[in-house]
Amino acid sequence: MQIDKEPKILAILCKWCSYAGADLAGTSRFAYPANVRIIQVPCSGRVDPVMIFKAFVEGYDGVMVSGCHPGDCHYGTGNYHARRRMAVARRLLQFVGVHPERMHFTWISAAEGKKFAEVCGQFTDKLKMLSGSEKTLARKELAT
Amino acid sequence: MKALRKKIRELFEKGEVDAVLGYREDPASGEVKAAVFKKDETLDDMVFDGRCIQNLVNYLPTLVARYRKVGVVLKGCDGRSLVTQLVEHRINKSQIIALGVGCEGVEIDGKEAEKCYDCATHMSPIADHEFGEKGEKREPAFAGVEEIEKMSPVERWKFFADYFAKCERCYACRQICPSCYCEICIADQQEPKWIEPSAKLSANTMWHLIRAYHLAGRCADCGECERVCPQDIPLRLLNNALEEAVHEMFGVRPGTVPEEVPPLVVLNKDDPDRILEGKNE
Ligand code: SF4
Ligand code: SF4
Ligand code: SF4
Ligand code: FES
Repeated sequence: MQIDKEPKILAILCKWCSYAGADLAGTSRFAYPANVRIIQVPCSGRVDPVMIFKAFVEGYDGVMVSGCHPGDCHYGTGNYHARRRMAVARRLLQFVGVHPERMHFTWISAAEGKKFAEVCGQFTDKLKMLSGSEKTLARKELAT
Repeated sequence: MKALRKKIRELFEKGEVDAVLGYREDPASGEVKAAVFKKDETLDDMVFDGRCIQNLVNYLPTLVARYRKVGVVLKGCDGRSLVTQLVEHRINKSQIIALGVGCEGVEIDGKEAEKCYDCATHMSPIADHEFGEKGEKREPAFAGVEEIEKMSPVERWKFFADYFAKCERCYACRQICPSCYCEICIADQQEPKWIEPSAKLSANTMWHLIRAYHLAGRCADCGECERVCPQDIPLRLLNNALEEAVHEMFGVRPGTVPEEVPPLVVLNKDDPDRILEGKNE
């Protein structure tokens, strides 16, 4: 089934580093898969796990969250809070059956356009390997 | 029990408490329920045994608004619950006299409650006066969580989806939980509406994930949510899985240490990045 092969990915990126990194990937013409839809947030500390839950329930195949590297958050400490939240959200999602490889939490700086493109590429490839039948949480009542 | 009654009488006489929250056996029906005892009332029907299931901490915020000083009878789990309320500044310790009673477990439907097998502190971690055996602190086993962890992702989802689909969204689990006290719960919030109000699998899944996440590092495992659920959804599994996660990653066992701040409201610059990948070592 071709549909299974093109995973939909949500990337939640902080404005100051990771989004700027994605921008740089664009301006430097590093290609990255069209599977990735980006949401910009002011800081990774703004990412409420509810956003991630919603993405999976609404049918996204994978969710990526990225902020500034530890120590570099524009607001000082947002990413330290984010690290704890993402770690707990991951454990919860894994516990109810989301495949661990469907979540990718990382740090990408404004200078790492290349890293952004690579991370997106690798994440997309990984998701392509997972079969569609292993897609859990997606709203079933629509399908039936 | 004698010592407890005696102490409460003494507290009333000295004017140290205006009301005491405890358990009363109804002489007619023999049923044991939460009750407020006041100064000149009899304490003869006050009981403490395996029938004292309710977590009394849930009633405390109402009582401290009405009385200057409130005594409260606490099992181990309820004591952990009180610790959480105190560190979150929902209740001020100066208004509370904590009466910890060594608990030997409670019974639900004639069987020892499952939470009691996993009880970390049989005596309230916070007590102005202690009665009975203190018991040892121990590490919960959470056998149920282990069973789930043996399953593949698809099996896990099958297991939980069947339960989530049954949820009626009555929110009894939220109302009974001392730690679920937001003025406007995210489930009732209209803008943005994260959780649709109808009881269908997708919205129910959102509810269960959010409820569990909001209680991570704050749930005292009093087991009340699971007990009141009309659909018998095993809510403790979700709570306990996160309790384990938080314990492994941040070394915190909610409510067991007085004044310990819940791990998700503080940051630690030294948390290792590997926790982002779900790894602990
Ligand atoms: S008490 Fe049970 S049925 Fe009611 S909302 Fe909570 S989980 Fe759903
Ligand atoms: S989530 Fe359930 S077990 Fe945990 S504190 Fe609330 S009512 Fe008690
Ligand atoms: S579920 Fe969350 S938002 Fe709702 S009352 Fe509980 S802690 Fe508050
Ligand atoms: S601004 Fe980038 S993580 Fe805070």
